[in-house]
Amino acid sequence: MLFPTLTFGVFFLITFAVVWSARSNEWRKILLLVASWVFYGAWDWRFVPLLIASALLNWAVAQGLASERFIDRRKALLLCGVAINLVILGFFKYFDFFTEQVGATLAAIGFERDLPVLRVILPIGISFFTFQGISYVVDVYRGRVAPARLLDILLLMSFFPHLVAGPIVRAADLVPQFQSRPKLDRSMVSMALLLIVWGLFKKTVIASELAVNFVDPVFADPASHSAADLVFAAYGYAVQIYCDFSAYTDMAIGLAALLGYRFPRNFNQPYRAQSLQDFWRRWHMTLSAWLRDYLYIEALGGSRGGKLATYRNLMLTMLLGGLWHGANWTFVIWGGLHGGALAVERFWGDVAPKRWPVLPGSAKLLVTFHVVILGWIFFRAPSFADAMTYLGGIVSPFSGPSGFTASPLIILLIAFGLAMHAAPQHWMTDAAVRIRRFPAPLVGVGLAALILVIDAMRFEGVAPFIYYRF
Amino acid sequence: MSAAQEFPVDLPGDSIDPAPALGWTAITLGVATLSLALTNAFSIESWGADLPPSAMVARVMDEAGRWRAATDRMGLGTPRATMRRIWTQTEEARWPNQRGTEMAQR
Repeated sequence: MLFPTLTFGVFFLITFAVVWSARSNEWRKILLLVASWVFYGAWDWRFVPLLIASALLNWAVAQGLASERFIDRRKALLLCGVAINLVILGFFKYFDFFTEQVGATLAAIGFERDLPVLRVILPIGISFFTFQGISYVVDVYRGRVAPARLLDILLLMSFFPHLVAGPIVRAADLVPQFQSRPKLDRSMVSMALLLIVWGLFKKTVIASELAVNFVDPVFADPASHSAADLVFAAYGYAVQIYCDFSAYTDMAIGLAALLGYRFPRNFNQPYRAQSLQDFWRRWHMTLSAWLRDYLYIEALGGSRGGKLATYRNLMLTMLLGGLWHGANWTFVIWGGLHGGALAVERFWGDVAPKRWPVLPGSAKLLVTFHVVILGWIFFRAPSFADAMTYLGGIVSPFSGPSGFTASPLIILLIAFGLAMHAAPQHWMTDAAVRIRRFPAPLVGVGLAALILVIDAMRFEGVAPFIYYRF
Repeated sequence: MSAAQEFPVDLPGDSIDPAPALGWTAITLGVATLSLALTNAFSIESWGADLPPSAMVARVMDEAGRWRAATDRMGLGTPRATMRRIWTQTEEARWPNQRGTEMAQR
């Protein structure tokens, strides 16, 4: 059930009416939980028990951590909880990938074997709800949050707006909101409606149009396209993935707000970043904060082991962050590229003489943006060989085909997608502050008019969000 | 709340109406839904066509078709159809000589 569909619209309106009719907060949460399972089950009912089991596991580990006083046993319990979460994630996401790699390695050294490739179906959203579960048990272990009730943990991990593609909402942010019946105010609703409409526009108009009419054909066969096509398709993919993913989280934040709950921001104009570190403070902010807090600092030690250990930890964090996106070497290379660039930035910050001139902000922005673009080529390409063919077509522009297949509309959408990063940061907040003063019928008609315009512009059909497969 | 997180739906200043805004929200959503049902019957019909076939879906399709015909007779579907036509023309626009190059590539 995809957000920008009428099926989801009907589902949400029914959920909204039923949930706000519930008299007690407990019934409200139960109804939200059932709605979330219906939402998840619409994709594949077989994985609803997995979602429930994952929540039960993390609830039980947290209860154990709260009742256990011996430090060694608490640590063992934490490690056990984290390990089970990782085994579940590893099995569904990486089993076939590692089996294939082992098979290829054995074949290379002359021990060819038929290893069992199970063709495991990836449960949608498993990367997100597993990370949420891990952060919960670590936070309980560290005493950052108190163990929550079973109903609250079930809802934390199943809540449908963030279930399949984030943002990764931590227990410390959401569980306190579950403790009492939420109240809507006009500010929250005005911003929620704007976020939903803006997300709808970014996904169904910009991302879909770019993907279907330009980016997908170029990445599918880079050897048949000119260098100009390849360069613009790389820019186009940068805009597409931003509009696709930020659209999902904008809509998730808006939908949760209409149900009375607040989600954290997940994007903040990432392509205006002037360094890779800055980029990761603006792109998928809840994942980068998760990787920083639980992997870089908690598991690897952060910068506590000296400069060399810091560079190594940055690299490892990003390599694993790349692997989190999927079982493919292209994601590992993407993560390695970001990790390497972050380590180089840190190294340069450590050794650069103070008197040396500093690049102007616009030059830093351009360099950062093009490092990110290079990463996106590996991220989007089906294989390493395809990515190298793609890059080869760009660096030797006169050896390939000529011509240019991007239409004026495609160029306009790429330009618009990049220009939105130069917009005033609080334009949507300012608009919401105005809208909250309007009478409801006027807001309703305005909302319908905007959706009608978007619907007239949208591409036929709705492709799944890119991050659904992660 | 964790201090490092920023919540986009927290707006500056007090809301105009400190009372719960559920009624305001419900009216907004109701008016929007009704307006879209009147002006975008095309999408309702398309949605029905995408559902897995069954007796109930066939009934929904019949009703959606009748509803679209009724709204079209009143001219309510015209704004969407006009915008769609303009957008399709924009999609099909090409740079000078580009269409010839595309044909040659094929």
